[in-house]
Amino acid sequence: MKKFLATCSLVLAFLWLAACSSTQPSTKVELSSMPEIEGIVYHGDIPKNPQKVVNFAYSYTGYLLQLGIDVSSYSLDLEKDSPAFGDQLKDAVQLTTADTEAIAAQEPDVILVFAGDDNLETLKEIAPVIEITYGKSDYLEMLTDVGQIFDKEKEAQAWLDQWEDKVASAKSELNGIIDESTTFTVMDFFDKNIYLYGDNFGRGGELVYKALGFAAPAKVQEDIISKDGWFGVSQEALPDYIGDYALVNVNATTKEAAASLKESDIWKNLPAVQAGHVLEVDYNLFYFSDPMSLDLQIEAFVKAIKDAQ
Amino acid sequence: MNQEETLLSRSTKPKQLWLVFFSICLLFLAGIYLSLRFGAISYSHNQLMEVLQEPMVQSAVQDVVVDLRLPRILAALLVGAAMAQAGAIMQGVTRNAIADPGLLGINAGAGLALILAFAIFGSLHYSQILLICLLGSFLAAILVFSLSYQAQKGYNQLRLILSGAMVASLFSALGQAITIYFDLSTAVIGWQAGGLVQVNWKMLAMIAPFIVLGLILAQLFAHQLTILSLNETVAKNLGQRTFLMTLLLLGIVLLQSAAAVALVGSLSFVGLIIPHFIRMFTGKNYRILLPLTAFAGATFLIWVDLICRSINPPVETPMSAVISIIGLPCFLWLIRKGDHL
Repeated sequence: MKKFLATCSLVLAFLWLAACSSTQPSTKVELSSMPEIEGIVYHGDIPKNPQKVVNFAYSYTGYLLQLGIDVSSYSLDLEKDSPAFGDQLKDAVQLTTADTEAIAAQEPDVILVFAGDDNLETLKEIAPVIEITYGKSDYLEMLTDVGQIFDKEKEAQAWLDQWEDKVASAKSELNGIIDESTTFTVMDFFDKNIYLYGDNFGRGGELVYKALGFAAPAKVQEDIISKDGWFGVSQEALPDYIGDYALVNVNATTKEAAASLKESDIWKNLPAVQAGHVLEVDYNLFYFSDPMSLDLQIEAFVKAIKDAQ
Repeated sequence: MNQEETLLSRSTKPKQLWLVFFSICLLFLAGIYLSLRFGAISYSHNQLMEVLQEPMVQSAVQDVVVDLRLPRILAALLVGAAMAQAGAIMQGVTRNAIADPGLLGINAGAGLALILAFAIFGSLHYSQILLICLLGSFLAAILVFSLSYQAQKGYNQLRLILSGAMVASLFSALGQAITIYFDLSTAVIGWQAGGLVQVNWKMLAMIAPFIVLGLILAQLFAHQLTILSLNETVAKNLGQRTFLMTLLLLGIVLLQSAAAVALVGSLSFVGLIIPHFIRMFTGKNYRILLPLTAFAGATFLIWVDLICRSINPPVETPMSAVISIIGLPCFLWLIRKGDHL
């Protein structure tokens, strides 16, 4: 009798479990085509229309938002404070990849991280993960890439088309004001340190060098653009790196940084400084090089050039 | 008592001492000369001499050598001297071979004050940063000292070390919390690890008086420190008012290292390696130990700064990294040598 009861309950339990698991796949998710793109690795099945996106690859926040994909987390204050994103991240939470429980609580449909993240294995268990290597696709290709992944190719193309027009009209507007061969240096200050950037590290580099096609001084080309894309420079050597214009990224926390440089003869004797060609731009706006930021950057840049004349 | 006396007389080795002194002299002069010539840009001997003969004539070379390098070398000299000597005094006062000025809460106080200021004001001019660091160090040191003082029993070394360690870890914990809350990491770490990058004449003018005053006072009271470093009872029997003397000497440590920390942030090892190295030749006679330690510390930091500037030009290598790389093997060697640690 005991044996019979045990067998019965076991059978019942199996049936119940089977019933349970068979209900699972009924919430079917449309999957992304997961196109093969250099620098992008997929872990798990990526949904085509994710509702909850936890994004750690902060360079791409603006790409997602531009394509109408809601982002429910951010990593840097720069994302939240960006004038380009407005209040779109108002309800988002700030997370790091180590906040396992908080990420799980978001119940994300997909997670985006930069390649080489330490917590990738844990994240993979929470949701499908897209791992992106920075700089494999350039700033415009990236929009096409993201568009392909989430089936928003039309939206991506539409933005690219209007961007081309925008660049063309900005160029013609600048044509009479500055020469095409003018050289630019993209830089910012942190405390005692001076950093210079190339054409793929944000801060306006993409806009000035790639979109508008201005040249970099020879030393910047040689030591930065052809190498790591950015570096910290000694103030002694600074004159070699500053072109006709300097695009200096400044915000409230870096306003007074490198004050002693700005008080020094080496800075005051720079041709760009003497000509008043130091363009101070909003770090919070120029930090990223996504479509939303670029749209505002190009206007701010043209205005800054005009103001400097 | 007897043992201490013989220790004093035995370990002063005059011949070796002169050898060390002249070696440091040579290194010091070579360090200054090379620091003026090399860095992100290198100048020839003639270019350098032209500028040095007429230092006030404006030129591209003058902009670098006189406006950037000279104050930086002087700052390295003063900061190195102050950090090394403050370490030596601290070890003498607490009779603890591994004591350093950090035990007075100086680094932690400066750090916390700076973090608070960044959190409140957002961005600060360097002159404000220096003042805030000085203020933070002084307040932290006063707190540590008042915690280690008991009304009836007076003050004792062990309590000082314990309360120092406690205040330092409390302050750095608070500092980290504020840093994370206000997302300040880049700004504060930048200042504290920056070393002597961007030191100019104005910063030097703010900091130098503290250090120079500290160095002079230290020399005046060096003999008292020798007595105090022996043992509390011995010092009292020799007629020293030990409490007053301790207070005064710690005040000197505070002057020197608060100024040094304000300018370059906390540099580990300098206050340990240099005094221990010099002590191998001078023994515990602080009248010789203190000036020689300051001299060696100055030379050491000039060379470290030279390496920072010229190892990977035009990029500046962080000073704390260079010191750790040079300092660790030196420190291990000193421990292996054994007899003075």
